[in-house]
Formats: sequence, C-alpha cells, structure tokens
Amino acid sequence: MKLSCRTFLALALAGLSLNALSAELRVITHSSFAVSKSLIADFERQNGVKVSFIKAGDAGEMLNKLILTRAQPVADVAFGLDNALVARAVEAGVVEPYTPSIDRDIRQQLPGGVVSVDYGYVTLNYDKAWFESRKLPLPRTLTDLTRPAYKDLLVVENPATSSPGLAFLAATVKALGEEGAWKFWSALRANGVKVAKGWSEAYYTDFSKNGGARPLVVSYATSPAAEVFYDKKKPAESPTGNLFLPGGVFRQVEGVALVKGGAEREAARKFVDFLRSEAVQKDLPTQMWMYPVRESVTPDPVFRHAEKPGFDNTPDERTLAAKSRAWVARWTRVVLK
Amino acid sequence: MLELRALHKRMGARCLADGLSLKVDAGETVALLGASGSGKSTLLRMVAGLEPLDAGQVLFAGEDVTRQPPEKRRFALIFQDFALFPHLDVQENVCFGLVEQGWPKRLARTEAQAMLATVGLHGLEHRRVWTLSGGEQQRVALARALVTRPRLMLLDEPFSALDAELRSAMQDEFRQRLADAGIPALLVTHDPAEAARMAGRVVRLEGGRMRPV
Amino acid sequence: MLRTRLTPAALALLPLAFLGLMAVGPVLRLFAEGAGQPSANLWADDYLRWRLLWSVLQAAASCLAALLAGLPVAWVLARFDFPGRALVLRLLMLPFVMPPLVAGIGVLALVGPHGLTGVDLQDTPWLLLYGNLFYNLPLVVRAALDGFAQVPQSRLAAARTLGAGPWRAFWRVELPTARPWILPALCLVFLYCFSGFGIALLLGGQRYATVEVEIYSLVAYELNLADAALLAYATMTISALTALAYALAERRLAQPLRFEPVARTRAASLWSRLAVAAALGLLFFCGGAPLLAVLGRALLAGRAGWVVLLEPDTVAALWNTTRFTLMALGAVAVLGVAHALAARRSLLMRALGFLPFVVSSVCVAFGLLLLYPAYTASLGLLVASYAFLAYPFVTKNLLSAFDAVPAHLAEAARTLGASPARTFWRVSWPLAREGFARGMAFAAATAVGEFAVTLFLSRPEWTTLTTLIYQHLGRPGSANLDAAMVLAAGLMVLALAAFLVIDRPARATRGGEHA
Repeated sequence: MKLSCRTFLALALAGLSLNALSAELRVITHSSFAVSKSLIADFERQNGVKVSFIKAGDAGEMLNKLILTRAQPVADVAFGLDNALVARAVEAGVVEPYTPSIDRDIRQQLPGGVVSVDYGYVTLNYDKAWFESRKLPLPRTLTDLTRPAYKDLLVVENPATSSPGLAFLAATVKALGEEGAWKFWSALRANGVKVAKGWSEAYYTDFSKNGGARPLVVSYATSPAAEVFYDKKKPAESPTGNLFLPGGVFRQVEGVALVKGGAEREAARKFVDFLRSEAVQKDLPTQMWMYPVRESVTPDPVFRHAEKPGFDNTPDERTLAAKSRAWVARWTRVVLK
Repeated sequence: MLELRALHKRMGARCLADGLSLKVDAGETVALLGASGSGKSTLLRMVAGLEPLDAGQVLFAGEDVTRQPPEKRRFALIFQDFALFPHLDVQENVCFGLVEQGWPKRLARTEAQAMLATVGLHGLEHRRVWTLSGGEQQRVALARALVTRPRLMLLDEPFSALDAELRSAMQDEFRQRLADAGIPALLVTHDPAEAARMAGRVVRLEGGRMRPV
Repeated sequence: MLRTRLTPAALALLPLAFLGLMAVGPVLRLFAEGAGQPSANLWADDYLRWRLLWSVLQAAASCLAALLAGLPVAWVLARFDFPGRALVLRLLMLPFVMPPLVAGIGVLALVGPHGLTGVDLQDTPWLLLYGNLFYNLPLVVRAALDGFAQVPQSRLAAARTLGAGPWRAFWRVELPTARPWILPALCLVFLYCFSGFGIALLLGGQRYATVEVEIYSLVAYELNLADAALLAYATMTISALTALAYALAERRLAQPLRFEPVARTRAASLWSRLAVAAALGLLFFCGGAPLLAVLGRALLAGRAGWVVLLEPDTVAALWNTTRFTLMALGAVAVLGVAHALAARRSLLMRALGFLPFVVSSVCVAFGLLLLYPAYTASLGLLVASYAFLAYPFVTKNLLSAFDAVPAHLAEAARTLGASPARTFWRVSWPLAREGFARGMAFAAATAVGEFAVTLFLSRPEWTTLTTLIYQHLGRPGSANLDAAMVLAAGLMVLALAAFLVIDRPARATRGGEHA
C-alpha cells in the first residue's frame, strides 16, 4: 500500500469543496429522472442558483423518504410524485401547494397543488417476432391471458416493489372490480404468470425480446419507441408493440411539487415553472420516455412508434391513495403466497 | 549481580514460584534444571519482564527492576526456537536491538557484520533467516543478543532444537562467548549434562522453590 | 519516535463510535419511528415465516454445498503439484471481489433463460445457490487448503503406520487438523449467504428471495416500520450469533508451530491427474464460468456496444467510482486497523467487526436519513457508507494476520530493547502487513462494486459504474442492454484491477504458502 494519506486528504477536500457554491436548490427525484444538462445549466445561470439533484430510488421509495424526513426536509423540490402517490403525499403533509405560471395548454393535471410535468401509459408490450414466428394471435382481452394458449407467456412486476406493477394492478381492479380482479389474478397465477421485482428485471431478464422466455411484459406505451431510438440500426418498425387490452391500461401522470418546509422558495417555484417550459417539455420525451403535458409541444418524431391508447382504466387519485396498500397485500396473498 | 527475592507466581491452580530466591554473580553462569512444567521457562520470562510477578523482587546490580518493562532491563533472552524475525534478513535481525538503542544505521550495520563474523556467519548477512540451518539460526540468535551488550543473558533451552553433535559444539561455543564477554547468564534446561557442561553452578527448580544439586 | 501507548480500550473508541453513529443509532432511530405503528403478528404469518425459514435454509444449504465441493478441491490443491498451481491459488480470490451485479448477470447469462448452457434455472432455488457458491466456494477451498497445509507429515505417517488407509487417515487425521480452519470459514459463508442482499435480490426472484429482501420491501416501499423491525430483529439475532460463533472459532486457531508439512506430490499418475482436472473443473464451473459469461455477453454487444466506454457519462462514472473508492479506503484503513488492534484480545470486538454485515443495509440507509437529515446526500456521509460496508474486510484479514504472528517474536523484540509501540511497528505490523493489504484489496473491490450503497441517497453527479449500469437497465432498448453488459464487464475488470494493484504477491515469507 503506497497510497499516501496526503493523497486521500487532498481528494477528500476536493470533493467536499464542490458544495461550496452560493445558493443551492435541492431537488429530490426518482432514479429515472433525466433532463439535458445544458438546460439545467441555463436555468442555473439565469437564476443564480445551483441545482443539486438527489436521487432517492424508485418513486414510492422517494415519497417514503420524504415522509420520514418531513420534520427536517432533505429537499426543496420533489419530482416524480404521480397520480398513484400524490394523494398520499398530500395527506402526509409533505407538499406545499403551488400554481405554476404556465397553467393553460396543459393536458393532464394533478390535484393537491402538485404540478403535472409529463404523462404516459402503463400497458402490455409484446414481442412482435415471437408472436409472428409462432403464428399465435395476440390476446384480445384480459381473460384471454388466463387461457391455456397463453400459458407462461406473461411477466408482470411485483406491485409491492414496482410502480408499473402497481399501476397495472390498479387498472385491473378498476376495470374488473375488486372481486373480479382477484379471480382474474388467481387464474393468471394458475396460468403461470411470472412476477419480477421491478421493471428492469422484467424487461431485461424475462421479456423474450431481451433473451428472456416471455413475450408479454407490463411496460410503457412509449417503450416501442425507445426500442427504435436505442437501436443502432434505427429500424422502420419497432420490434415490440403495445397491446392495449381493455382493463389493462393505466394512465400515469408525473408531477413536481414544492416540499413543505423546504428552503429557497423563490428558486423552487422558478424550477417548477422551468419544468413546464417549452424547452424542458420538448427535451423530456426522449429522456424519460413520457409524453409532455404541454399540448402545443410535439415530441421527437420517434414517438410515432408510441401510439396512445384511446382509453384507460385509471382509478382516481384518492382511491389509489386509500386502497393501494390493501390491494397490494391482497395481491401478494393471491399471486405469491 | 542478579538477585531474585522471594518470587511468587501462580498460574491457575499451579504454583510456579513459591518464595523462590536466587543469586547470579558477575560473570557467572547458573543453570536451572527442572522437569517440563516445573515453571522454569516462566521464571525466565519473569526475570526478563515478560511475565508479571504475584509477589517478590527482581534486583540487578542492587537496583530494583521489578517494575521495569523488558525493553528497559537490557537482559537478552534466547528462545527455544530462536524467535528470529522472518521479515528481516540475517543482518537486519542482528541490527534490531542496536537500532532500538539509537545507533545510526550505518554504524549498526558495521557492528552487526563484525558480530556475524565473530560467530562464523560471514557472508550470510543477506540471507532470509528461514533458509538457514538450525545451527546457523542458533548463531544468529546469539549474535543478535550479544551485539546489544546485554547486562544479563537468559537462555531458554536454546539447544533443544539441535541434533546431538551440533548441540555439544554450540554449548561450548556459547560458554566461550559468554565468558569472553563477561556476561552473567541464567540457563534453563531439562538436561543435567548440558547444565553441567555450561554452568558453573546448577540449581534445581521443584515445587516452586530452588534446591541446590 | 512513537511513544504514546494506545491501549486497546482507547483504540476501540474510534470504531465503536463509528459503528454507533453509522449503524446502531440509525437502526434504533428508524425502529423508534415505527414503534407506534400497529404490527401484524409476524410469527402467525405463513408467508413471512417461510421467508425467514428459507433464508436460513438457503444459507445452510450453501454451507453444505460449499463444504462438500470445497473439501475435495482443497485436498487436491493441498496435496498435488501441477503446472499453474500458484496461479490457481491466486485466481481463487477472483469471485470474492466481484460485484454482486456482475455475478448476477454472469449467472443469468449462464443458466438463466436462453443462457449459454441451455439450462434454465430461473425461478428455481438453484439459481440463488449457484450465486452463493460462486462467492463462497473459493472461501471454503482457501480455508480448507490452509488447514490441510497444517497437517504435519509425521502425524499423517503415524496414522498410516498405525493401520489407517488413506481414506481413514483423511477422516481421522487430516480433517480434524484442518477443522479449526474450516469451521470459521463455514460461519462466514453462512453469514454472507444469510445476510447477503445484492445477490439474493438479483437471483432469488420473487419466490426465493431472502428475508433481507423482504425487509427492503417493507421499509422502502411500504414504510411498514413495525413489521420491518420485527423481521430485522429476528435476522440480526441470527447473524449476530453467527458472527459470534465465527469469532469464537477463529480465535481458537492454533499458533503456528514448527513442523514438517505434508509434501506435495507431482500429479503424475492417471488418477491424480484426473483428480486435479476434476478439482479445477469444479472451481471453473462455480467461479470462472459466470465471469467468462459476462465477458462473452459484453463481446456479443459488438463494437457499437463498446462505444459506451467512451461516453462522457461513463468516464465521469469511472472517475466517481475511483475517487469514492480511494476516499473510502482512507477511512477503511484507519477504522480497520484500529478495530483489529482493539479486537486482538476481545471476543466481543471480534464479533462486532462483522456488525456491518449483521445489520440490514436498508434499515441503516433509512435510519441515517432520519438521524442526520442535514447531512443527507453529502459526500461525507456517502464516503462513510462506503467505508462502513468495506472496512470489516480489513479488520478480519488483519486480525487473522495478527493471530498468525507468533507471540514470542514480539517478546524477543521487547528483550532487545523495543517498547510496545516500537515492537508493533517493527515486528507485528511488518508481519501482518500482508493481511492488511489483502483486507484493503477486498475493501477496494467492495467499494468499486458495492450494491447496498445504491440504497443511500445519492446525486446524479456522483453516478458510479454500478448506478450507471442500473440507469441503462432502467430504460428500454437493445443499446441500453448492450451498454449495461459492456459496463458490467468493465466493472469486473476494475474490481479485479483494484484487487491486483493492492494485493500484490509479497516477497516470499516462510513456507511461501501464505498467498
């Protein structure tokens, strides 16, 4: 060991001194948050503030961290509260309501003074090549998924540990009613549904498109577009497609909120407005793979591979907040235990 | 020179020293005979300061050294398995004590080389100690102890690891060196022949007390 | 000259304070938060009971499997000489320094759906067992090898002349001699498998996840702190007892004696060659194949996939990984040495050295948030988290090294005029330094690929290689998957490099076997 103490000290000090800028706006986000660095730099320059992002894991995990630290907030702004979490966040008192300066021209709104930024749909994706090669027609209803022809073909995320998993579960409950949903899920279990911990596991280890064994996966309506965008060969057609089954589509609206008790209120409000600015709204579709809430903003052309469903089965925010935990507990008993 | 006064030591249920007293005069070598388990090695460790006493006094040249830590006593101890430092070469082993006495490195090296030559190890200065034969290791241990000019030499069965022929040669060599240097010595052994060969006086340790032979 | 006498008690203060601030305080704080919550009767819940039982079962099964496979392999390595033996001994530590993410990807690429072997073990407990063996077989082999090397030639010869055949002599002489080395290793294997988080999360699936994963869901997703506390107390009790058993077993390791060890014979006969081939094959299957699979998967990504290595995000992540590792190593060195010194004569301190493995990482992460809200997402806390997870390796390896230093060497130094501090500096430390370097190497590899750190709050500008891989795996598209695979291979190389740079083969010491 020839690494001297002095090197360690120098490195440690260099690291610590990075935080020594003037005003600092702390923005807590879920781990998938992404906005182009140049836009953030512009915002910092225009407002004379340094933006520090704090990644807090999955959206649900982030909310729990906010709730735990509400006496001494660890951030001034929180990005990533969606319609499944927003009522709980408001109820727990971690949100300071705010009406942004840009509030017309908006497609989807969130309650409780949380400002919507983007939205998307949780739905089934299917592996086109797999279905073509087997000449198997696509399922047309949720009930089809419980038939022998579709045995062992579906992977879903565990709603206890994954927000798309919870979203899909909520959609089935909304469409089939609670009792109907449990019957459906228990039939699905009997038909060999696979449960993955989170989206990454489901999509990258179980979905047949990526070397797994299952051609149906709970994912997002924008995933087929991302498949084209991130393919070196830039194909004309996406290798995956959306399967909008009645009762299997959840509309997710993501928003940003001021954290109650946070500092830097002025900069925080400006940052919320900034997320609704045209530049960010134009940037986020290919960063976070969500649709912008501004109606006048058209996303990247690759989004033609991400068609929107004509319907969705989304419970309202209050029902989601009140029932989610009970649904997850029941689901765990029906599907896993 | 060395005087042990009424040493007491118990280890668990065993009594290793029960009012034990002994004198070693200047230039004298005393051999301590005892069966294994009689506490003779522990006695040596108590003299060296490596083992605390329950009661009693250790005096050297009239000075009470009972509470002195081993590094202050300047008593050299030669272990049964020599206790050479495996991470140091032969010369570095011999220099060890001189460095502790504050000798400049260069002087210490010269001194060590001279001492190695005296014990017949010239040319082996940079060998790793575990590549040496038993007799050579023994000589390194002796050189390492002598070079510090100890006031007293403590020998803990130093010849037991050697074969018979080498053993008697080394016994003669040790006796000669100790006599040349005029250092008093306390030798612990279970072999009466060795005791007779090495020491001017032999005492026996039994039941925690000294008995003349 | 160093004159101060640092007593073990004073030395213990530093690691104890650190553990109190980083583990005990946060966990207690978190569970205090949940004290008011109503909690289900855990022990009446079949599902949670099964989780706890399965955690114990899979850890015990992993121990058994590692023992059954490890003993013959170690025996062959201990008794036969063959070309490349030294290299094999060195490669043996390779799996242990691999990040769980790499191991998980490797195992899946091998025996997952569409794996290279064509065998799909997904959704079976075998996947997790394989992952556990990947990490722990080398550990048992190494320990048993050290044990078999302690069998004196004469003792074996005595057994043979007394009428014991080779097989009986193995059972009645070799195995009992090696047992003091094997038992602590098995305790460690149990501890790692039982409290392991990353590999269970990646390979356990939903049915075979361990209780640690359940605690993670309860805390992070459900904020059900009352139930989490109950489960965590149960698991921590089991891990703590295991750590204590380890400390007891390890402390009883005999002092090295002077003896003629059993000589190795050249593997010349047919059966001995077969034995060597079988041992190497088994080691390769458990430890080497998954790593090669990661490399293979990365190569499949093609040139377009490798471009990711040149992206600014990757370069930044590489720099972050390097700098956090270096900063953590600074703290790790101080904590590890202080803890090892304090634990030399204290069984309790020895067991406490494993506290970071005993407490649940997710509880620590959330507890830190509650306890020090002002310092969340601060670099200091991040580095402290890395140090917390990595420093037990230094303590453990340094302690083993200290245990192996014969007591009479220090005594010889004292009689030659060296004070206790000087004796430590000139004798004990140089002799234990190899153990320190090895511990630092493990710590560095851990810091490079640490999985649990992703539980702590972080900043995007602190993205490390591990988090970057997750970011790629969090987005759809083949380019992202390819990038993740290439980065996983990169992470593997980096962990290996960190290990090799620090744990260089030392000058040959006595016997030359203490590699």
